[in-house]
Amino acid sequence: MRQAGRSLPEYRELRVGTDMLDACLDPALASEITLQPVRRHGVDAGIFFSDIVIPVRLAGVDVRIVAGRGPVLENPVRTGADVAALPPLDPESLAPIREAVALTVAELGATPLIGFAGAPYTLASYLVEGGPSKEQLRTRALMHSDPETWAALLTWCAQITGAFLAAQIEAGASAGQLFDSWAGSLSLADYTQRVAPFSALALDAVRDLGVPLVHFGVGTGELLAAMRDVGVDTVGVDWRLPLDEAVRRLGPDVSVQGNIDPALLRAPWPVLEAHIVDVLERGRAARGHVVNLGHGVPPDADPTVLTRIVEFVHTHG
Amino acid sequence: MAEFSVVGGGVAGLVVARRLASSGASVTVFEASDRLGGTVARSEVGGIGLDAGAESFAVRGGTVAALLAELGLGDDIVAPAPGPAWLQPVTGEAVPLPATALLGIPSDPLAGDVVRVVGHEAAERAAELDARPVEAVPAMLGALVRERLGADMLDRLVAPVVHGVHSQHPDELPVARAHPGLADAVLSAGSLSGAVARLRSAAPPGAAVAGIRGGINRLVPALAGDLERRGGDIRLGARVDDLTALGGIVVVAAPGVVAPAAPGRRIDLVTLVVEQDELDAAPRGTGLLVAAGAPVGARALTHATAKWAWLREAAAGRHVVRLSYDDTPGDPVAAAVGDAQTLLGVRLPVVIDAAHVFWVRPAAASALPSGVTVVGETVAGSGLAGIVAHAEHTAAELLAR
Repeated sequence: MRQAGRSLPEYRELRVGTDMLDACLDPALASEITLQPVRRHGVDAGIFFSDIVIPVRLAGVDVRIVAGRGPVLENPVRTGADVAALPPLDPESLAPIREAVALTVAELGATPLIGFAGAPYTLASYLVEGGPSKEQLRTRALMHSDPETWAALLTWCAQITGAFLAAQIEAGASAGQLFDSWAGSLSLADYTQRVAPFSALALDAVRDLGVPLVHFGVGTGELLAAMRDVGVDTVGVDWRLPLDEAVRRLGPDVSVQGNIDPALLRAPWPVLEAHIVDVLERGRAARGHVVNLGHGVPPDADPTVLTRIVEFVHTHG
Repeated sequence: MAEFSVVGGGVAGLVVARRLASSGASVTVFEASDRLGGTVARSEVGGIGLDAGAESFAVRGGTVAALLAELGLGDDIVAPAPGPAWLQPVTGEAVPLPATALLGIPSDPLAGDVVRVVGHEAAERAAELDARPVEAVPAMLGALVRERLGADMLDRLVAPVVHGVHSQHPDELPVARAHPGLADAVLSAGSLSGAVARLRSAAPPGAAVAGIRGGINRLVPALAGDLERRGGDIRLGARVDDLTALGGIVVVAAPGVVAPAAPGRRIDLVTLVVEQDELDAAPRGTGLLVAAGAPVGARALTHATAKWAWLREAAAGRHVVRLSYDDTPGDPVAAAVGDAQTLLGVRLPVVIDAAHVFWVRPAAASALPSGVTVVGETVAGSGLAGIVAHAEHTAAELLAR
């Protein structure tokens, strides 16, 4: 369960007075935050606490996380000159990430850790828009108005995010997850021709490391097969599409992840339970099913509900 | 004394078991079928002993070579015959790929083997274009090749190769995917062909793959014999349904044991033994790659008697060709004979023998139960080099615990 930490009181206490990106770059703190939800909920794997813009920051680009808003850039990247000026990522700068992963893996023992990185498109959307945006209009405009600059920008994003994910896996993470949170704003044609090749490029950095790869997006029902085709073992499905239909679209060669609706965390337990049973049943159509929420954990989620979901799935899965 | 149970007697299981046994541990291998080796297997076609499955290994890392040396097979490692691979494009005749090229991008546009594919005019145009100073490197391979070598070089040579390898048009392939160092090399070399020449000369010399005289399948009895000499116990026909009933630490080396077997990808192989003197000249080198969309069902053809000298001797004048299929043909042997004639450009009236086998490549494991050690293709990907390296590494980890 991604972002499971932020609903925990112990997390909020730990984060007091620490900037989000600073927390990600403090190995002991990042490791502890990763471990908190694993300890509390007894999930089968941990997901590394970090932020997709960490490699952007480590490359030396001025990016901050503004509470309640998300990643914000002082100087958005919009022209060929802006892209040409993006600094390369020094592999040495990833040392705090490697250290945090190593600490976490040592602590987790037999429980696997899943590494985490943003997909080039979602990363680029923050760079182009200067912050979170509803429909990524400037980003999608750039893709068509200046394809060369677009391709150069996505190449840069793929290289830094690939290095970020590779650092985590080399330091001991047992799987890698590529997040394309905003891919749902794209048409299938734009995704296939102008985005997917760079997601594949990002994953090239980790293909030889021999760990399973997960590809996640939101609102990506129309893109599932194309997201599979960048070369992954598991495709994330948000709550909009039943898993049996997702499996029909994906075919038998990949597993699925998802897709409990985070909104139902607030519902009375019998309603939530019926939903989970439905998710589990429909997930049986898949080669494999990583039971998870269809999106990140909402900050106001009740942690006891999350624990109860894990217990229920362990008993009934 | 540490005790291990290894479930699955393929190469991964045998490598793990042998390494564990050599450290003095007590090891038992349980193999459900009546033979060891998994997808490394021997068969006889037309009386010639050959590999029914894997027929070569990647040289990278040196892991397989080191293992073979330990098993006394080091002197029998052989390189395939040199020479370019060929490509069957979507339309037209098969073409040899330039000997020094990267995804079909030539290191010398005027080389004879390039001119043969694209023609004089296109080759000269490419040389002219690539002589201009480099200002910037486009991010997509299609744009880079079009700009530096012209549209004809892109359409006739690079696009078919890229399509064969990546199932994509170069316009949809980032330059960094073609080779991570290509963009920098273009800038420093001042030309695209010069960049390819640099990258090619920086790559280690020699072939990327090797074989074993007599076939890769010799690895299996060598591993099994060595394992037994070290005190390991091998049980054939020993299906394991309950891992908890096994003694000691359990290592799973077979798909479908820790989780229901995922439907894997099926690959069909048809081996033909033929008489045809025109094949003595190896008209398509050691074999061809077939571009997706070409009018044959086969994905690739290996002219095995052209590729391996030991097999040529064993075949005594006959020829062995092997075709692989992603989609099972209705009548595999008939389809293979037809495809082989098209791809090789010769008639094959005398087919002495044929064999059809299929292998199911297990799907990659997506979630492993904690506490279970797994080796083999589900976790290490396909290819002996990766599987052996992963199995050796896993054994070392188990022993260090």
